[in-house]
Amino acid sequence: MLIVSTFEHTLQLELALAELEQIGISKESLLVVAMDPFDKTTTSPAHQAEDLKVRGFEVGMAVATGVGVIGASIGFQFQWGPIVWGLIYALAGFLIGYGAVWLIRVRKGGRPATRSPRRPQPELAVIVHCSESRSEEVRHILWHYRAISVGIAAEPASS
Amino acid sequence: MNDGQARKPRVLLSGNGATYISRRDPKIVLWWSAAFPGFGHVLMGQYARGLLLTLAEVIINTLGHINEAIVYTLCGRFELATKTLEPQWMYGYVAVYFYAMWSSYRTAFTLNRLSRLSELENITITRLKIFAFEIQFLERKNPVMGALWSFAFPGLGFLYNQRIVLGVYAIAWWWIKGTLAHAFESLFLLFSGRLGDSVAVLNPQWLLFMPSILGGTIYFAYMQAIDQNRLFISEQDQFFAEQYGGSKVHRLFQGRVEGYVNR
Repeated sequence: MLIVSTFEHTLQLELALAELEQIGISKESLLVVAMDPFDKTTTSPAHQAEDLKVRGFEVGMAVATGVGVIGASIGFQFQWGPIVWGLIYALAGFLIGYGAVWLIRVRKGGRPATRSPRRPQPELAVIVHCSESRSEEVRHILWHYRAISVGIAAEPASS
Repeated sequence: MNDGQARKPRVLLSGNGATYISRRDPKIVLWWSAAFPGFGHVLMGQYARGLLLTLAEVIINTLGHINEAIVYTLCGRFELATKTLEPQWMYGYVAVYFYAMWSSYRTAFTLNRLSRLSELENITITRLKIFAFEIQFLERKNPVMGALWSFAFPGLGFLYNQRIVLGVYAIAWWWIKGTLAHAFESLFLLFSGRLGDSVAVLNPQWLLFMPSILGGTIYFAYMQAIDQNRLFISEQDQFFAEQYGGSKVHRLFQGRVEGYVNR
């Protein structure tokens, strides 16, 4: 029978595979497929949506630092002083930078086409071929090492 | 193939952490060089010249009283700003400042191309190395944790990402600058409600280094974590391809069609 499961790229996954081999599942009966979380064959907005969060953070931090320096400088004149004003300005700068990235992206290509990837992401599919009697043991190992999901396909009844 | 011998290696794991060629937006690199000369180079993994440039920035800026002049300028006290500056240091400061921006900007293009080439060549990545004094490895990191540790105390985010020298360098400087700027003292006074004292105690020359360092270390730690995740995933894909490339599970499906019964 076939046991299909999904995993993230983790060390636990390697432990699971090592343990499966340990109990006698041969390398040939294991198939590991790396899955793309978005369409890599095109350069569609879906592709770009994946790093929108990173881009937002990147621009947000750049603006926050620049504006924070200004806030800290002029903060010397104000009651709360440069540290507080520097942090307030930096926070405002971050929101402006992050917001600008979102606005520009939304205006360019509508809302991001992909679902925002949340963890855990099924980054890998692991397919194990084993006999019916083994299946429980195999599934236990997969779950034990943090499989995201596990499914089984029974052998079709043969005559 | 050995990391150091490949024509287009991607990553070198040393006792000091993972050094790698990464893709960076040249404009962002330029921006960080402007925020603090040397940061752009550090961001790209050119640690030696990057850190030397940051040292130059701290020394020349302090000798020339540049930060003080910036504070006076932004507070509208232009005459005081002009009087504060030490003209002797201006020419050199400006030259180094612009060199850092220009150099990091153009290097970013070169490294982006090299990065693409080494990705395509897909040379085997080493994930784990044991040294007499240290164990180094690639693992999955949480970028937000890197950012948060850097926010708590700049440099901790680098340690989280296994960059030891960079982490210690950043931590040491944060102590030095925080002390010379009386920033820690000021925070303490602020929390005790003594607002006036908390502002009066601050030294603008040293304080003005701190926002850029705080922002830069938060951003770098975040990006480093993302880079290391990417490297970890590449390495694992390579490993799986090598280990399970000979899988015969596909054959089951062919077998079905051809009437083959699998046991």
